Amino acid sequence: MSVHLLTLLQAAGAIPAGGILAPLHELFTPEGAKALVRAGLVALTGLPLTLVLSTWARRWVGRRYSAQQGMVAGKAVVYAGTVIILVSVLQELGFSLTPLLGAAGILGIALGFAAQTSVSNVISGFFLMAERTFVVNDLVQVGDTTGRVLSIDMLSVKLRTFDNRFVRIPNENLVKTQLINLTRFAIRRADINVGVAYKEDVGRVREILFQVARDHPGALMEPEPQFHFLEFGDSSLDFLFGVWTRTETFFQVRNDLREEIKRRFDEEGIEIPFPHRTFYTGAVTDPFPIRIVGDTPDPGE
Amino acid sequence: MTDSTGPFPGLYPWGHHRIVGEDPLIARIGALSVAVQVRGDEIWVSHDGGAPSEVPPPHPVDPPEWSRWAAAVNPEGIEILPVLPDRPLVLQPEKPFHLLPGARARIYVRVPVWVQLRIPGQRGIPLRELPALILSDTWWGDFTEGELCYWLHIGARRTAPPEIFAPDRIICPVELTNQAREDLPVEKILLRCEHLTVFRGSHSLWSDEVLVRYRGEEVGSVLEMSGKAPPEAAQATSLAPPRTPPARSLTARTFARIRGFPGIGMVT
Repeated sequence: MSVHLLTLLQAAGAIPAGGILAPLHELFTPEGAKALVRAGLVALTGLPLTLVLSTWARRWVGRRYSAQQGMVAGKAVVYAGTVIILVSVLQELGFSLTPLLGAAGILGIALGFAAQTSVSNVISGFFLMAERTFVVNDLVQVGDTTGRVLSIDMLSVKLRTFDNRFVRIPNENLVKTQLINLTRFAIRRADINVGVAYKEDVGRVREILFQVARDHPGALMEPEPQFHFLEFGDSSLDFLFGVWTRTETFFQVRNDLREEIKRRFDEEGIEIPFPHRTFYTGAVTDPFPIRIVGDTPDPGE
Repeated sequence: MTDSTGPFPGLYPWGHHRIVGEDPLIARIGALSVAVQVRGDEIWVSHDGGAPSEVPPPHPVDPPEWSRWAAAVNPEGIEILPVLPDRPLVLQPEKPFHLLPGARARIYVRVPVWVQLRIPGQRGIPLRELPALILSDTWWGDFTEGELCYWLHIGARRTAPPEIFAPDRIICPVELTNQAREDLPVEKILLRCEHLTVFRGSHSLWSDEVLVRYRGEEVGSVLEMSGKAPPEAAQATSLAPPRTPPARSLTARTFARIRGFPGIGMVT
């Protein structure tokens, strides 16, 4: 495979007839040394300049638009600058660009086969940025992982989870799978499942739940809270109480409401049941038969 | 110990107050109680109350939770200013009413005051802002776009008798005009109080009047803030400027029908 590739590159003129190292031999002549110095100067001035320009682009675009767009702009400057510096250095060193570009096409095909996954990730990355499903600092959920977006890079997206783990998700996976953006909108509904004993008055339970929501300043008055009678459960009447909150205070408000519901139910004597199990004795009305075993003699004996 | 119910002129503790020695200045504004102490180059502030119960708490709180600020020069006292809430208010009249085409109605809204604390002579960021009454949050808009506001039930009174005056309330006159050809149900009103100035009248705090001209559901409303004391308190003096200077007039969505609010998706 490598022999065929070298032959192809030589045929394309990317590699001189004298071999791939032929231009390097010329560097040891006085002209070659001058070219080496020029190439070095290009690299030494170009690379810091590229980094400075990248930082400036990231800040300027980030201030005017968004942190994510700033990051993309910064990276675009780095990539473009690196390519320009590389081309300039190669030119200074005596490599002809025309055959190199021709060879790049052939190399591209070869590398394309070898790096299908990486290319797919790069293209997926562009789709993710164009679609703007999420941006840097959004809170997203992918499968079982929930975390804040640290960066959207060429090959992957980096997340920081709540317990401070660093997660890398390949861009291709994100394009293929379901992703939930938890902070896209400014308000969210906190759903709280509530179960009460069968003996309780449903109207009274609803009234207490709405009162709890009204008393919490972080629970939005509008959209109004929702109360749904979900089902007659095995041991309880099951409800869903949905309260709208600001996305940024979602977890705090949901915790507070759960605590307050428990406190108010205790105060009002409303029972939150645990699972009950009734043993069937074999007949509907007969009591469960009990036989005491031990030292006491059985009267029937 | 200095108490707001004693030495403060009139009903209010608003203005500059010199604090001598380590005795705290205590100001009570409705349900809110604020204690301020000067210790060397530091200002110490403690507060209590402001809960929706509106029951004045005992003060000083035991033990007081103090917040501290170190100043550039030794402060000699504190400036206490009444300001309006930091977000718009969604007003819900207890008894919604309809405004017929061409009709005009002036209502008086009692807005709970926010207490702003500053070091005299040092403008810029205030030390602290404390609501005299903590209001619930609410949302104005649809599920994807809108703005966060406070929720306030109002009586939508058509007159301003002395009994509605209170040290912890700012009376805001709102004049509604229905210029549309349709009936206007006044069920919820958005009051952009960040554009309003606070004035000190002889018996109450006032804001400048808000003129709302409703031009139809599709067109929106035109809002104008007069920027001067309302006619009901023509002699009132300015106490606190608006948080955001208003444009000459604003076009905004100001009214909403309760039934017109977007539905909430059913749980599946």
